[in-house]
Amino acid sequence: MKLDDRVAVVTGAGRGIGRAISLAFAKEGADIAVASIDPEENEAVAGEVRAFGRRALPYQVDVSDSGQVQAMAAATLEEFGRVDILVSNAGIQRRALLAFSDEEEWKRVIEVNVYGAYHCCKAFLGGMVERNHGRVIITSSISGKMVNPANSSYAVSKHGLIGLARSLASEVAMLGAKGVTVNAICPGLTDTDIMTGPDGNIAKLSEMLGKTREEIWDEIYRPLILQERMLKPEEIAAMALYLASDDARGITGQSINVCGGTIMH
Amino acid sequence: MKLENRVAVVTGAGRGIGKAVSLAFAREGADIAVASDNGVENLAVAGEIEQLGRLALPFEVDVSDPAQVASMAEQVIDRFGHVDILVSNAGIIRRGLLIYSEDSDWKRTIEVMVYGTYHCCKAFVPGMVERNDGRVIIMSSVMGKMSNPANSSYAASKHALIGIARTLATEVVMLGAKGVTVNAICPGIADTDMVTGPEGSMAKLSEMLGISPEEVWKQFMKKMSLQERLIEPEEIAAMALYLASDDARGITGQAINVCGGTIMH
Ligand SMILES: NC(=O)c1ccc[n+]([C@@H]2O[C@H](COP(=O)([O-])OP(=O)(O)OC[C@H]3O[C@@H](n4cnc5c(N)ncnc54)[C@H](O)[C@@H]3O)[C@@H](O)[C@H]2O)c1
Ligand SMILES: NC(=O)c1ccc[n+]([C@@H]2O[C@H](COP(=O)([O-])OP(=O)(O)OC[C@H]3O[C@@H](n4cnc5c(N)ncnc54)[C@H](O)[C@@H]3O)[C@@H](O)[C@H]2O)c1
Repeated sequence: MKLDDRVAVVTGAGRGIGRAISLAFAKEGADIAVASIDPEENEAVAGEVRAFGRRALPYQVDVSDSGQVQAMAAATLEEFGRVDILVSNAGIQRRALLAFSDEEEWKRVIEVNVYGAYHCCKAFLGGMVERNHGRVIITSSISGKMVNPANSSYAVSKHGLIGLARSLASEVAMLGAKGVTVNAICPGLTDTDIMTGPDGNIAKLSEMLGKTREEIWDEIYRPLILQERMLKPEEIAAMALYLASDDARGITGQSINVCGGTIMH
Repeated sequence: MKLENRVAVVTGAGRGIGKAVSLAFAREGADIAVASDNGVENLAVAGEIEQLGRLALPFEVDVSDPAQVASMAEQVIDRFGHVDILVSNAGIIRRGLLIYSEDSDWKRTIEVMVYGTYHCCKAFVPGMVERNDGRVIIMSSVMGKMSNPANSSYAASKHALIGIARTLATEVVMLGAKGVTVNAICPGIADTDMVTGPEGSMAKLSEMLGISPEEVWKQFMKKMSLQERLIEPEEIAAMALYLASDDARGITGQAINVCGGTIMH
């Protein structure tokens, strides 16, 4: 198995992409700290991880709160002894035109998406550098490389995460830990709550623009994607698994698009 | 197995990266057309593939010659019926400052890598489009995204190959074949004849500059990657295998770096 007896912390693991990553890693032999803000979802995913015969630690955390992240790190180390892989994946969006946006809401996106990753990297990287072994995988987005109208806080946060991944990849090497890699994944539109849930983009835009959900897909989203389809969370998880495996030991500082050809840079 | 009964054509398959790709694919169940301009090396790799229990068709070809590529395509289809995966990997280097370079040397680099890839895509992609199923993997380089002094023909070729990958990815979809993906891999400096062989970059630079190969490594190559090491051909092969697999069905038009952090864009 590709991740035999590795320990992974996955944030935003309760559903969507984070859940798919947790299960893909567990299938390949990893134990998982299943972390998100929603404890019921954490419990459910932890159950699925255990069904693969792996250990799971469901952990409720708001990643924007450094105190909570530190407590999570302590609990994870106590349970598993060490952490080999951090998947910083928790994320939110708050759609609005910048000019009319609510300051609190705008900043909340940065706090969860960027500060959340910062707190998690700070909490888990020390051990990886010490052992000269580890993987950090950050879920950015194609919105980290392109425009996302009426969603500037999200685009800003996702652009920021690519800067974080690149800088951190260099820093771990400067610290002498060439066995630690840091990369971002940039998913395209993926079939999760953020897109297709009751509060997701398609529902929101359908409401904002007075169009049906089918029209939103046909007119706004489908033309963006060369393959004219939404990605499955499992396709993002496959890339996370690849980056976490030994095969990818030479890949660091990258931000890899899994997007059906939406962007090519 | 990830490539059960798929058929792959790998150019430049006689040694180095192409050989590692061929063996990685065969191990996952693919039959391979082992193509390069070195008949002896093709035979040796074909033998290794047969030992893995797969079919191999060694084929001596100069990919810069459209007639030779067309006749290769004919024989490959004759033998295997169809081609699922094309890995256009054959490549050469002709070092020299642009202003002092020999026209024929400079153009030969473009002919082998750019025209070679063009000929192979023309020969094998139509069948993929017809079956709406296929993978094209083009071996570019980090030199496809950065400056490579005293090697402008190589950098020009590798930049061009990214242009081919992006454009062809779009064209197959325009032709209605969303099941065909086209991607480039950009390896960093890898441990193959091209770099460490008797005629490789290290030996050449050592001769040109009158310093030992160790000094060449220390002064010019070591600092080019964060990880301060050569990439192994198997690491490139792992990425090719990933892109060839179903897991990567949503990845197209990309140029993915496997370079130990040499570049991050
Ligand atoms: N779905 C897409 O189209 C898409 C595209 C690109 C990137 N992404 C990114 O992928 C990641 C996962 O999103 P998803 O698509 O699975 O959406 P999702 O809404 O289904 O999942 C988000 C997860 O993050 C958790 N979370 C939210 N705020 C948190 C907080 N403050 N602390 C801890 N956990 C918190 C949620 O509980 C949930 O588990 C996000 O970073 C998102 O931006 C998604
Ligand atoms: N080694 C590196 O550092 C490195 C880095 C980035 C990219 N690459 C690329 O990877 C590919 C493979 O190179 P490698 O490192 O394995 O070097 P290599 O010299 O070991 O292999 C080159 C292969 O291409 C074949 N070839 C050369 N000219 C040909 C022609 N006209 N027709 C058919 N086959 C031909 C050779 O026979 C050989 O099999 C090349 O495209 C190279 O540019 C290599």
